Amino acid sequence: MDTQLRRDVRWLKIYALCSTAAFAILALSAFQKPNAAKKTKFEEIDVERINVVEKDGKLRLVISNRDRSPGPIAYGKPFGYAGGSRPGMIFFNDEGSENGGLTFDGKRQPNGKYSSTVHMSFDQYNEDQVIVLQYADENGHQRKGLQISDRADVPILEVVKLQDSIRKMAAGPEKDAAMKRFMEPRPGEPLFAQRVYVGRDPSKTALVLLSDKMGHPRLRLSVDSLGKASLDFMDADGKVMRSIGEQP
Amino acid sequence: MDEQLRREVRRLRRTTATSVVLLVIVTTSAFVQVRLHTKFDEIDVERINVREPNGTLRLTISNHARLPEAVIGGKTYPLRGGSGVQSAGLIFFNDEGNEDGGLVWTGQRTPAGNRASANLTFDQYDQDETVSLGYGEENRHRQAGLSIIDRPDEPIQIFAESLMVIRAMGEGPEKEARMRRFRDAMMARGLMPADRLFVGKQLDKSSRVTLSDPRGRPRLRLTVDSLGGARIEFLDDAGHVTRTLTGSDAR
Repeated sequence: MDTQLRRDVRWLKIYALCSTAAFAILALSAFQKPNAAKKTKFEEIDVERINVVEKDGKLRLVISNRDRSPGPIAYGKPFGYAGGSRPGMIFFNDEGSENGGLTFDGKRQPNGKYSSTVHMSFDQYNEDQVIVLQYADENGHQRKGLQISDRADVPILEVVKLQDSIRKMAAGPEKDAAMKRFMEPRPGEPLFAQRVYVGRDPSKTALVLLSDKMGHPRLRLSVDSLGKASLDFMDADGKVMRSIGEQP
Repeated sequence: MDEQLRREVRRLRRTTATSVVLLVIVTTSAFVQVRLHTKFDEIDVERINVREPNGTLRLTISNHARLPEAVIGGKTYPLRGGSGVQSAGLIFFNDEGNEDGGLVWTGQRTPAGNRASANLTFDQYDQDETVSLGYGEENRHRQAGLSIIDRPDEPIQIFAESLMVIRAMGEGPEKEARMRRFRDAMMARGLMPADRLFVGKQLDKSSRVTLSDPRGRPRLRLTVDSLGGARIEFLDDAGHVTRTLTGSDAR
């Protein structure tokens, strides 16, 4: 009986040793970065987000679904608004600051109306988008085309900080004045000025619009929804100074 | 002796239980960590699917062989094949999992010369491409530019369903006639796409800005042709030039 027990215990000991060793190896291998230094090959993978990072970990590109999409990031730090609204791709410059993106979404609401936007933009350094190729559609109310813009030489972080501080002010003439100052041109240039638009606007007009540095349209080529073609020169107030049409 | 043995067995039991619990926790957490955030230096893939947590497809990045078929109204339509174009790239999907754009490219030698293209396209909701930035070439005839296209309000499902039926028919005059009738019917109902704007270079080696009416007829055209001739032309709805402005016009 005693010998039997002793044998059992011996076996148990061996079992414990072996299983522990096996578990340890398994656990360690699970922790190991899969093929860390090598290329890994997949036929097909499903992901919710991919971060393309530089060697030092700085983000270069995020490819993600809606939930995991990032909000604005400058110098590696989030600012502005929370993520979760920009499915697609967000680009980052060498400093880990956002400098463009390609996003796409669209769905029908329970009331039957749909909205849809597909958007690609390139940002001015430390600023917001200056090249935008976009299709935006609110239930058939469409604007689609290419927009080239000027942005003031003010870092976006400063703009957002200032804007946030004004938003926090109590409503009243003081806040209105601050907002007006905020929107006003600084050293002769507005915060934002559309310079070129090439596309189709919600009135179903095909349009080429060239604007001055304050963003006022000065030269317009258009074919409207009825097929009327026109080439117009405008002054800074939008008044047509010369119009060239189909008939001389 | 018996006491000694009993103690040993007890200790063994305790050790085994602890180690099993510990290792289960460790192993599980190790695998969970892998699931949440994995780091690779470089990966080779044939296709990546970016999905929403509920599985809805948002983006595919793939080679040609694994390029997804068109998904319209939640249904897959094998419409991409047939042209022989071997595009690879990115296909975008909206919140409903329906295709809403793409960035694809291709290029290859052909018996007649070569064929290449690269296109970034944005699709109208429940319809086809409405914004297109693209380059295409066949045997050195090249075109490149930005196109804005109006699409009908009707969902493209109707079009896709009919096309599938026609495609399934046996080759022959009957199929061709059916295809023609289908195109004519679409045209009559105003369901054909209409080019509204083009900015780019064209096959005839002209550079152009063309603005068209809602039926796709060019009405205002800026051209610098292959010989350097520059002009602005107004056209009527029959395509006749009604007015031309050039550099030699008297002011």
